[in-house]
Amino acid sequence: MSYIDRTLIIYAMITIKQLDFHYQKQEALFSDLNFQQKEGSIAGLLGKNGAGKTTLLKLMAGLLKPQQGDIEVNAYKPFDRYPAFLSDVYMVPEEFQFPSVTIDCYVKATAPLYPNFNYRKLNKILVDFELERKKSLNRFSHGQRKKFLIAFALATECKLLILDEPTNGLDIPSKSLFRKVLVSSVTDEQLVLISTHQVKDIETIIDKIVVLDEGKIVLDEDLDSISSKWQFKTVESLSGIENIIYNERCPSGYRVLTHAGDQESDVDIELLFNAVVNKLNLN
Amino acid sequence: MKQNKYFNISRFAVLYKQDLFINHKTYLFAMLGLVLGAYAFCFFVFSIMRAKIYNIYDYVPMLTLFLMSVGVVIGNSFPALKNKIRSSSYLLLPGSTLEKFLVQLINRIILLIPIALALFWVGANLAKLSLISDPALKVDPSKIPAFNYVDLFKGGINLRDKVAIILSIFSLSSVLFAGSAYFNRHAFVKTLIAFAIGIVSVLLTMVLCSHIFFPDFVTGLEIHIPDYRLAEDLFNVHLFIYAIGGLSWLFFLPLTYFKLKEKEV
Repeated sequence: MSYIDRTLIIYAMITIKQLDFHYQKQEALFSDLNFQQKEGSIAGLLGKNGAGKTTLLKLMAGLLKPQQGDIEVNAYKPFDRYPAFLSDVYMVPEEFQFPSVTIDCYVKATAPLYPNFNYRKLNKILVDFELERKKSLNRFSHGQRKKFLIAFALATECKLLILDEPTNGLDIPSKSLFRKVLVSSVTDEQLVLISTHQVKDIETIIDKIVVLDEGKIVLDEDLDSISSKWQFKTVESLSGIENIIYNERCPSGYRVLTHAGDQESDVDIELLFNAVVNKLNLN
Repeated sequence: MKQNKYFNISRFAVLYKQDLFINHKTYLFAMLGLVLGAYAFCFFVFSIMRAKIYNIYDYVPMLTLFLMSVGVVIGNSFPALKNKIRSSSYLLLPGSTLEKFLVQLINRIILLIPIALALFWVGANLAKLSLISDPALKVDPSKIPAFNYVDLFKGGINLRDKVAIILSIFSLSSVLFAGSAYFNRHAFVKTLIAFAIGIVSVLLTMVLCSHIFFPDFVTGLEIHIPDYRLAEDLFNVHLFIYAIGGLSWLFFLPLTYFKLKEKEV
C-alpha cells in the first residue's frame, strides 16, 4: 500500500472494502466492491437503472446491512446507527413523506436533533426557494416539498449529505436554483454524494464522477483529472479525428471522446458515462 | 461516551419532544376517540342491559373490551415502520435505538394505559350521568353504581392476583408492541394471528405431552396437568400462569428492541 493510499484511508470519509450485498432471493448486487471518498467534494454517483445506486447510498446511510465486507463512514459502521453518526449524515431520499405539520413546526421539532443545524442558512434557502413557513407541508406540491427537504438537509450542515435523485420533481427554475444553493451552501468539510441519472442537472456542480456498473465502481475520477486525460468535442464528421475512443451521433454530427490533446475541453459526462458502461478501454 | 451511544437524557428529551410535536394531533384524536368510545359503549350497554347492572363488577366486561381497543393503539406502535418511505426517515433520526424504543414504550404503553383507564372512568361515569330514568324501559340510573377503580379492586381477589393481572396486561401489551416492530404492514392483525398460532401451538404441545406422559388420564384433545401445592395458597398451575402472564414482557420487550435495532429498509 502506497503512502498516498494510506493517507486516503486515514482521511477518507467513506471507506468501503470488499462489500458484498444482495437482496433476499436475488442475485448479488455488489460483489467485492471497494470505494473511498474524501470530504470536500460534490460527487455524482452515476449508474444505469438497477445498478444499485440507491442501495449503495442506503448502505452508506445505515439503512441496510452489508452481508460481507466493511463500510465505514465518518469512522462509524453505518448500520450500528449510533446517534453521533446519524447526526452527521443526512439522506434526501428519492421518495419521501412529511407529517401534516407546518415548516415551522417541523423545524422546531426536528432541527434540535442536529447539533450543527444552521437556522440562518435555512431561512435564507427558504426565501430563495420561495417557501412559506406557516403552510402545512402536505399542502405544498411535490416539488416544493422536495425543495424544503433539500433546504433542511443543507441547513443540518452534516458532514455527509446523500442526495438520491434530488432534481426529480423540480421544475426548470428550481433545478437551476438548487444548483446555486447547493454550491453556495456546501463547505470544504462536507461531502455531498448525488445519485442521479439526469446528468445534465448536475454536470455544472459536481467535481467528481463515480460510475457504478455491474456491482463495481468502474470509474472514480475528479473532473480535473478527467479533462486532463480525455477530450470531448462535437464534430461534423469523424474523418481526420485521431485517437477516437468513443463516439455518438448527435444532430450536429458526432460527439467524440478522444485522448487528451493540447487543449482541455468541458467534460461531457453523458458521453463519458456511455463509454464507461459500454466497457471501452479508456486508457 | 459509551453510554452516550445508547442513552443520553437530553437527546432523549429532544427526541421525545420531536415525537410530541409531530404526532400531537394523532395522540389527541386517539384520546378523544377512546373517551367517546368508552362513553358510547357504556351508554349502549346500560341501555340494552337496562336494570341488570347492579354492582361494580358488571363493568368488568365493558372494561375488558375497552382495553382490547387500547390494544389496537398499542399494536400500531412505531407508525413510521408501517411505511417503507417513512421508515427511512425514522431510522435515520439522530437518536439511539434505545431512545426510539423508549419514546414508543412510554407513549404507547406506560402513559397510554393509565390515561386510557382514566378515560374509561370519564366515559363510563358520563354515560351513567347521561342516562335518563325511564320506568317503561326499566332504566333507573340511580341503581347503576358509579364506576371507580378503588371499588373494583377492593374485594374478591388477593394482592398477588392483582399484581398478576396488572403484569399480565403489561405482558399482553408487550406482545402487541413487539408485533408492531416485527411486522411492517397490517402489524396489528398479523400480531393477533401470530399470537393465536402461538397459543394453539402451546395447547397442542400440552395435549401431545399429556398423551405421552399421562396416557391413562386423557382422551382426544384433553390436557392433564398434575397439580400440587407449592405453598399454603399456591398451586403449581397458579405459578405457571403467573410466570407466563406476569413475566413474558421480559422476553417481548427486548425482542422489540433488537428487532428495531436490526430493522432494514
